[in-house]
Amino acid sequence: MKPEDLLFASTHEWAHVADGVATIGISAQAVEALTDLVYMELPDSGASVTAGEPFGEVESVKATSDLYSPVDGEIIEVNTSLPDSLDVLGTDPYGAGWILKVKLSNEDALQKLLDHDAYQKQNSEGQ
Amino acid sequence: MTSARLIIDPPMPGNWNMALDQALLETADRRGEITLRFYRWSEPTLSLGYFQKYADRGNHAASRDCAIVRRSSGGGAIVHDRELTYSICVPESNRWSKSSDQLYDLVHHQVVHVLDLHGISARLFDAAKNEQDQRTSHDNQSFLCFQRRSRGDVVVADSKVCGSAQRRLRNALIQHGSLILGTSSCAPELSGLAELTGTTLNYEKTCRNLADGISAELQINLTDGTTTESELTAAKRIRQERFCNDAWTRKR
Repeated sequence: MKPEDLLFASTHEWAHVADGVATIGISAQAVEALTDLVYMELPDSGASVTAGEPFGEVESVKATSDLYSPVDGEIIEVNTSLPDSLDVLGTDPYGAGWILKVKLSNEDALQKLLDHDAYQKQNSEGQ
Repeated sequence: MTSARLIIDPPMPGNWNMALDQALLETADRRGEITLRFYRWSEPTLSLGYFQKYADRGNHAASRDCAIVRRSSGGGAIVHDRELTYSICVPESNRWSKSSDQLYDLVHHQVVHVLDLHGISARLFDAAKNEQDQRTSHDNQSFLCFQRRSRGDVVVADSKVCGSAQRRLRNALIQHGSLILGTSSCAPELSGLAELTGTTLNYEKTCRNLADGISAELQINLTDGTTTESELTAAKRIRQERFCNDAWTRKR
């Protein structure tokens, strides 16, 4: 997927919505900011996620961060191979680096997400 | 110039130190305030990295009887005893929060500078030049943080004397770290500055020197301050809910 086609949370997660299912990952900027990732903890399929609330955690050599869901819904698929191949997040964050697939319970939260241009603008502020 | 607060605390228990750090992080997250805090520990305390297994402490005999607390930041375990500990909370809106490396390097460069003022030759560990590459070194699986090596750690005579770790919230991050002033009987395998250089640093003066350097680099107006009543209330709640809670300490 091209980042221009995605929606972004201000907390650096991305979402791609098709047929009522959101594919979720974290942005290339987030991966770069965290530096070398060493550990990721993800939820199980069937769990519910709430927009703006943590669904997992990631640890890099220097930093630990929560991962925040950009959408509301039920997890229907988890990229279970990801914690064992975290390099993928750096090489293909918008493709093979996807984290969850979520069946949306509503689309309200999508209205609060940023398009690619707005997300880029947010990241350039304060630099 | 952005205003910021400097807090130099007396020695306190580990669960309180971690709870207050969390309360200050939440202030940065909610109100966008920068706080630089220096603190010590009222008894030797083992802090586990957020993702470490509690059971692994059993393999480190020297610290087995120490008080224990699980940090919210990652990395390896630290025996906090004869050390200077700092934390800095920075809101996401500040440019130094954008990259983990930037703030890490900024503080550690100041540690090197302050040690240089005392005639101590320190440098930042450079994994690329190596030394031992951090991604292949088995040292990075060591239980103790100070037996690991990451790019940017402060080393004196090949011994790591200062390391730091970060935790990010939605709108802010905290970086806290330890400078080993002297070897602890609870981690005798680690050398401190006193053993490595014969120099005993004055705690208060070292804090002030570091604060001056960090504020100049961050371009902030740092003034002496204290924790607010609401932060103390929050810290008491966080201590009970998290850092005094066995479910948190033994969560892995």
